[in-house]
Amino acid sequence: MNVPFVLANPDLDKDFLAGATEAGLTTLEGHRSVGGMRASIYNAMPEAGVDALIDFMADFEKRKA
Amino acid sequence: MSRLYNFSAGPAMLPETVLHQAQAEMPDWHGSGASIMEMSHRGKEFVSVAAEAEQDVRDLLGVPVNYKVLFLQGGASTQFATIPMNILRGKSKADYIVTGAWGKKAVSEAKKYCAVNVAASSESDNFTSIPAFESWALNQDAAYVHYTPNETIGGVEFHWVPKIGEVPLVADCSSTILSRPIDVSLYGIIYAGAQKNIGPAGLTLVIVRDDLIGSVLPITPSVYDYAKQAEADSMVNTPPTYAVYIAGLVFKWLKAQGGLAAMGEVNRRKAGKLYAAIDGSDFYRNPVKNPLALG
Repeated sequence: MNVPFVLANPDLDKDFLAGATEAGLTTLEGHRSVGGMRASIYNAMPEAGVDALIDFMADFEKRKA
Repeated sequence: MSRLYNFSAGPAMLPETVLHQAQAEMPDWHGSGASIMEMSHRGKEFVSVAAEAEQDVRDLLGVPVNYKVLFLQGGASTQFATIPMNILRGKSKADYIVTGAWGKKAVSEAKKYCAVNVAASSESDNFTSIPAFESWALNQDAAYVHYTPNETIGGVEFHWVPKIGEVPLVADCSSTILSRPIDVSLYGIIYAGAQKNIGPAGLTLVIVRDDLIGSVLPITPSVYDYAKQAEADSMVNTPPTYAVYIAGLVFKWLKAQGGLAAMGEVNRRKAGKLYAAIDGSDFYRNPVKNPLALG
């Protein structure tokens, strides 16, 4: 229910979080003790929200890789 | 107004239909002329709301009749202390399986009330795995075995239930409660903070087997005494009435979605596609080992 992930290049973390927030995908920052990202996908997170996150990740990768 | 997709570990999103229903009913609940949050917890309106919420939890999870369903306060962290207070039953030791930060916190709290044996821990690999069951150093005379089926910080999740024999199994299910079907009869206690899958923060669900309650440590405050709370329908003192009401709406929503089998299906799909996106790219990396392995 909690999916942590990291960017291979952590210098892009801030850009990722800012871009995600702009796309309406919020609170993806990992817990302060571990860093990186964390997507919690509990019951009330619609499947469309997960799809939107996956689309954003692919788009971000395309722009920054 | 457009709704965000909020990926917070909690407080987390609530179903939009629940928020709209709560909004519509807030000033005048079912023609009563009052808001639920203004009503006496002893009045027939709220008593019916609380009773229905309990029945819906029982229906959704298939809770056997020999288990109490309690709506308590203080979050899962309060249970870290109240569990040993309630179910040591004259024993002096408890076993803990630590696969993340929450399990570790549970240990440090329990140490105030009993001798804690950390029977297994994955701290040495930074909480990214579950120690092999064969390596667990369990005590046959432990009062219970505590574990955290889903650690929200590191993300380690059990997809199997430890078979530990006669010693009661205690599970902090804050992250996974109501997200898929489980067999309640395998557990002594299942507990969960509400703010991830149930409703507003502060409310705490505790499902406890009858034979484990009734012999608390003498220091136990009455509001933390499972037997007294069960006797008083979770109303030893004024319960968090509005939180119970919202949780009740969430339970109805879960039933309307098709119950936990249907939720489990959707949740498996959500996790599967997100992990696939991470694993299919060199740009992203997942620190948890075999997150979806069925073990």
